[in-house]
Amino acid sequence: MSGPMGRPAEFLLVEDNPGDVRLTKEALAESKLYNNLNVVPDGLEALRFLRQEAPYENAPRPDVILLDLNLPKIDGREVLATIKSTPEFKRIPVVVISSSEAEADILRSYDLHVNCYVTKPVNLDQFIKVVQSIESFWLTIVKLPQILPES
Amino acid sequence: MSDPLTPLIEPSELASRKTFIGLEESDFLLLQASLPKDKEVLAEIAQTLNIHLAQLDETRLYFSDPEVAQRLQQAQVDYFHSLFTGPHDASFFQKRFLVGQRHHQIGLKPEWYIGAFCHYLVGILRHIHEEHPTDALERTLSLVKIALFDISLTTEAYFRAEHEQLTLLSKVFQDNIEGVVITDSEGTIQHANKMSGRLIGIPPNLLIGTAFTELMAMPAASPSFADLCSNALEQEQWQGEVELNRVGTPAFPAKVTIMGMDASRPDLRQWVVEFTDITEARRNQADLAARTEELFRSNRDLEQFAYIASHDLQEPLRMVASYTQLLARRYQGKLDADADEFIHYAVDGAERMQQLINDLLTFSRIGTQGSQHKLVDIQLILNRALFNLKSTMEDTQSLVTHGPLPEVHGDTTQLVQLFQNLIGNAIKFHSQDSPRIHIEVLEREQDWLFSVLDNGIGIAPEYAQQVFSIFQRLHSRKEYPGTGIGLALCKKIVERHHGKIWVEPAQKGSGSLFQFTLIKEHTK
Repeated sequence: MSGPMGRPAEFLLVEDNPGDVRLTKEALAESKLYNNLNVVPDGLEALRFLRQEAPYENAPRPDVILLDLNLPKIDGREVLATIKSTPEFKRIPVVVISSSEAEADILRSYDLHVNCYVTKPVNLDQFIKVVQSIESFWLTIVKLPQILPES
Repeated sequence: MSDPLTPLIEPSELASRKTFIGLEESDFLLLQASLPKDKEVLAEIAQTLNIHLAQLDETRLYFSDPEVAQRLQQAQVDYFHSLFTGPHDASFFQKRFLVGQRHHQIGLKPEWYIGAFCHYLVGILRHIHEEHPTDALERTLSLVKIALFDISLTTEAYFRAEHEQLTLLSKVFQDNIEGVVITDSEGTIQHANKMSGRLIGIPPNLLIGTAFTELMAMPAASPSFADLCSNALEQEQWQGEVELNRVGTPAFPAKVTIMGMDASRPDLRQWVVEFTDITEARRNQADLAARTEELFRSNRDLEQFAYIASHDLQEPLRMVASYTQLLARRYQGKLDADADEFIHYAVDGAERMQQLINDLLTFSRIGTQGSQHKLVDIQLILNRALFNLKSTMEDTQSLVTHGPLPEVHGDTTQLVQLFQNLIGNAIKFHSQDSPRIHIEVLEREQDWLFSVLDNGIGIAPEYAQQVFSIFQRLHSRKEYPGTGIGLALCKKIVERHHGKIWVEPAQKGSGSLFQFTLIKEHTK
């Protein structure tokens, strides 16, 4: 089954932990949706990917961004702030997936207009369920704007 | 009659004094023969004297009470009677000494005594001249001799007592553990005790003549000695901290008290200045402040550490758990039964560890986070806690009742957690009966006393302290699951609210009575 757009759904995963990257891949691999997982290891690369700066000249525009909070170089909170204050990117759904249950992190993320905040479950089954829920919710249930972003 | 404090007159001393005045045995015989035949004579003299004394400011006090006046008058009459009759032995003269001493004790000055004596003498001499016109001169001379002898002994005793008192006061001044100096009205030192010399670093006699202001190490803006003195005058005394110079070493901080002595004219006023070295007290104070600050910092560091550690521990833990589970998922059945069991324990361990870390995080957050305390309604707090416990309460058919609930100052989230943990604890450790929990609040002077009574399995008194320690469990995980943080969290929350929490067995039945206080007024 292909994505609703007739092309693979593009995910951008901003995650520095290879273990989590692999788990996310495993989870999406079990998905029935046709998807493509792009991975960058830090906040700086994430912004380059979005801006299609080298070496990401041919990077697709992601349909959903999965963002970790604690990242090298540019912190996840700053990446979130940049995305949500850039007209070109602000409509892209951003899902923070963090291991932090701290009220302060949750509050800050929503203040920066995150679309939703999810904590990483320890249990693998739950983790897979969470990733797949995100996928199905944002790609099949939610109605997102189809028009091209303002430039 | 003999007073242990009365200095005794040596017989030889007495004899030589008699010789100086020329008092002889014949005088005493003559005196005995000169006692007025009419007893009323002495009483009349006493009466006129006392009327006179009752009018003088200095003596009025003693004669205002008629009973006292009567007694004094009788004592005077007896005294002068004995002047004639004697016996003029050692104890007679000893008694003169005692009189001087007593007068000193009550503050009666020698001039009054001499004045009174003179009054009697005049009266008695007149009488003698009338009664014994032929040998009045001889009798007079004997009387004058005994009078002079009497007065000399009495006044000597008076001044000896005065001297002893001054010696004592001077010793108190000299040996005072504080530095004490007395200055004139201009602030020039007139007297300096031993300690003042030791503190300033020069002999006390060299301090005399020095202006006190020269002892003060004065930063530009600090008040002068004269300023301090005028403060002392306004408020009876001035007390404060002043840097004083010490010869050969840096100035030292001193606690200084300045008192003005009463004087008839401002230029006669003397100043008493007391001072002590407070270097050590200041150091102790600074040490204490530093230690408090250090304790505060290390406590904060520890909380920060617990937070960061538990947060960062979650990442690797999640990896262990997830990949063990992934192993299980992918290779379940492809390995043997042992492998499946091993994987089960690995996953279970990881999950429990995560619970511990989460609890540790929650615990450390009580210290590092938490909002500004505000007035909250405990009823609303309890409602929220009960809402959070809804399914547990339904499963166990628990019933929570309560008396009137107050409003307190506190952190809403933490207070909900407190009630939720206490009630949750009571439900968890229930007996065969369905959990029954009752909350009662007693208003006290400073705080609210909360009582949470349950009908559960109870806590043995020997564990009453232990249950509030972090990760302390009284039961095996199989009997009651949990990390053992619930009550430790309660304790920390209560303490963050400046209260206390404790537990004791319920009066009736098997349950526990948890009690905690929340103070009424928060400083923060």
